[in-house]
Amino acid sequence: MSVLINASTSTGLIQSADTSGEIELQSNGTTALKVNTNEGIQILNCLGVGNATPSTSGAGITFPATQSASTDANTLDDYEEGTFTPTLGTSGGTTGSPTYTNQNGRYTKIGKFVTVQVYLSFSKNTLSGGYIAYINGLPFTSAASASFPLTTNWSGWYNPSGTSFINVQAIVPNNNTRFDMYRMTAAGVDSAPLPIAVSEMGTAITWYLNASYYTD
Amino acid sequence: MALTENTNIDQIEVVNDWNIQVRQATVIERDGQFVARTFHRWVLTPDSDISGQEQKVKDICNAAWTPEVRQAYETFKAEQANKLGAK
Repeated sequence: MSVLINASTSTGLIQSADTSGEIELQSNGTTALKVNTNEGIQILNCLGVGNATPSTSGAGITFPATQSASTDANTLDDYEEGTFTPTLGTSGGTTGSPTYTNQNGRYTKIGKFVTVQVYLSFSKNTLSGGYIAYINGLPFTSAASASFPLTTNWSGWYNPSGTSFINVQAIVPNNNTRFDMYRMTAAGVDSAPLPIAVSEMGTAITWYLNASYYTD
Repeated sequence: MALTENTNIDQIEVVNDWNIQVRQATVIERDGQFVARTFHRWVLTPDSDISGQEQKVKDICNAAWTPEVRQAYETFKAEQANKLGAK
């Protein structure tokens, strides 16, 4: 092993003459990093980028708690997992007094891309009228650009006492944290999905959503 | 071995003028050593009820939601409602 400093360029060089071609960095007798000319670089636990302290749990990449956004298109600059609490909303602002039986949301954010899962069910829906049904509470604000105002997502539903839908779509408007709910009622009848009016939801309804959208 | 669980608001961001993104972190430690961390998020807008929020969240909301920002938000909502056919 030798450590060289190139005086002309101030470039440091750690060099091993060992024929295995491997250098290990150890701390307190435990290897943290291996560099092998044939196998590449191996980090035994977590790698912290930016000012992130590497997680002591498992092995992976730990990103800073606050994203340090990169403008480079080939740079992964954020990762986060967590939960959120979806709620019923409407375009009229009123929600009645639903009793939630399931109100579960979870997300994974990779770079600007957010994937969410929602399991929302409620009973005692007392709403009536033509307001559009929303699902509020998304964990991140969608991208502000009106060039990409809508993202269509797949969903499932259970609406035993309401209108019979044959297809439901959830759409995230730009610069928002909600889904607007759209539906079709019969194949080939509606030329395009129409907003779901709250009056079309029965006294109890369940939404299952697996969706994704972009942030800024 | 003592397990402890601490929950606190660890991030408050203002996004696109009026969206206040809040993140709550729950950290579990064993004898002071990190074991696990989970996040729960929500976003507040000028028409949100912030009475149940922590004071530091209220302070950010009140600072960000100036009359001009509130007006811009209402204008944005109206424009979007028209675009999407809201009733």
